Amino acid sequence: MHTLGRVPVYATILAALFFQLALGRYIAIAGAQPDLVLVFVIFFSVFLGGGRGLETGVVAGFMKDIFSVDVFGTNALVLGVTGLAAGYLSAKFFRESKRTHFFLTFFFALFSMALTWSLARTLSGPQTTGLAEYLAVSAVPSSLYTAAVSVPVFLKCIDLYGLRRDEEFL
Amino acid sequence: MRRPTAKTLKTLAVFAFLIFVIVTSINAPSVLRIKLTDAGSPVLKAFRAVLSFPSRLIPFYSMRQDNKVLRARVDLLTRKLEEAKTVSYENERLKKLLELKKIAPFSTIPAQVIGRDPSNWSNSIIIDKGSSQGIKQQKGVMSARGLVGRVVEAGKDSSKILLITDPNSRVGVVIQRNRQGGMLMGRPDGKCKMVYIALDSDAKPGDKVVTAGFGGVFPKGILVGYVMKVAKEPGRLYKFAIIRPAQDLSKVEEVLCIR
Repeated sequence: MHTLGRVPVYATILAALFFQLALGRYIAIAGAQPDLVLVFVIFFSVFLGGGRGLETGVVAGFMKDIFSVDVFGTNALVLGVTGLAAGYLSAKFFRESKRTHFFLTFFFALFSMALTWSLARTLSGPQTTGLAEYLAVSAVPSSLYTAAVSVPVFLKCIDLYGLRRDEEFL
Repeated sequence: MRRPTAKTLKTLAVFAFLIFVIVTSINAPSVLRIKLTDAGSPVLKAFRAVLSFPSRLIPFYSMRQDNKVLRARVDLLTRKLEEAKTVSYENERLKKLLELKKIAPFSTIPAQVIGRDPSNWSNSIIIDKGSSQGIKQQKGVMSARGLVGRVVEAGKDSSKILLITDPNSRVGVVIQRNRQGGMLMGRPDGKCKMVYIALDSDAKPGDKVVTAGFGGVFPKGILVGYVMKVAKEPGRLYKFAIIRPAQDLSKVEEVLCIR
């Protein structure tokens, strides 16, 4: 597993959060926006492991919670679970493949959105849209967009943080 | 039985802590969160300012190819034209807001949108005005085109607005043509759903939906949106309608907050 200090990890996530808050709507396509914070949580989980994934997810989630109107802690829980799961699952894949980046991000984006829907239902009661409808109209398009964005972001970040070391195993 | 490792216990402790945070925050807006949003608002304003700069320069890019000799001149003139256009659009938008402010039977505070909810589920915006400018919690927010939402958190210099398209938003509304009432709820796809419409209602696509004025949050008669589709709710004794908000909430830049 790779190692990376906490400062670059949280600085990157903070920058992604402010970018998403201020400029997110300018990169939206037909209402779907990529979740940049989630992309970075998955990225750091994949390369730093489940433990750091959990930590990164919880911190990134609390940052998101500050600017959101969701019940405080919801995003921290969702991103914490996502980071932990992404970290453990990624050990089973070749981490530097573009396909892995795309499918892992797509799967975990969808997973985190379904988890958010379930938490909203638990905390606020029945919702106007069922899970199937939510996935179809909002979660799947956003997850696809997030996964598409993750491919160049992952490649750039692997070089930026010097994480291209999996060749040693080949 | 295998004893749990220290790592597993740590993970469980983190999740227990998160659940505790969620349970204690359900009905209590966090003062710390309001203060932290306030602290982050200058950064959001700076991001916005940085964004407006390249958006003025982008139109020049394509024109550089046109004519090498006249390029400098064209660039200069185009830049001036684009700047004038931007100012003109802004002027038009602000004029409309001002006109609305004049005719609205209630006092309002104009504000600019500086941020949007970072999560995929909820729909909210952050504005650059707070309690020090007279913004109060649970007051309605509108634009020149129609209803936007309500203030859910008012910090000192910034506030969070829950949009009418948020799944937790509830607004009492009536169909303007036949005065039949219902409740408007948000949907994550950027539209709204009006429920509790009587089964014998003749509501049809294109009907205007306005605020009912119950509850004191939203004044009566503010345009909310237009009916797109009417259907019977399966297993219920009422109809529902899908409503397209009058104001495209993904593009709103200036709002008026009701005092």
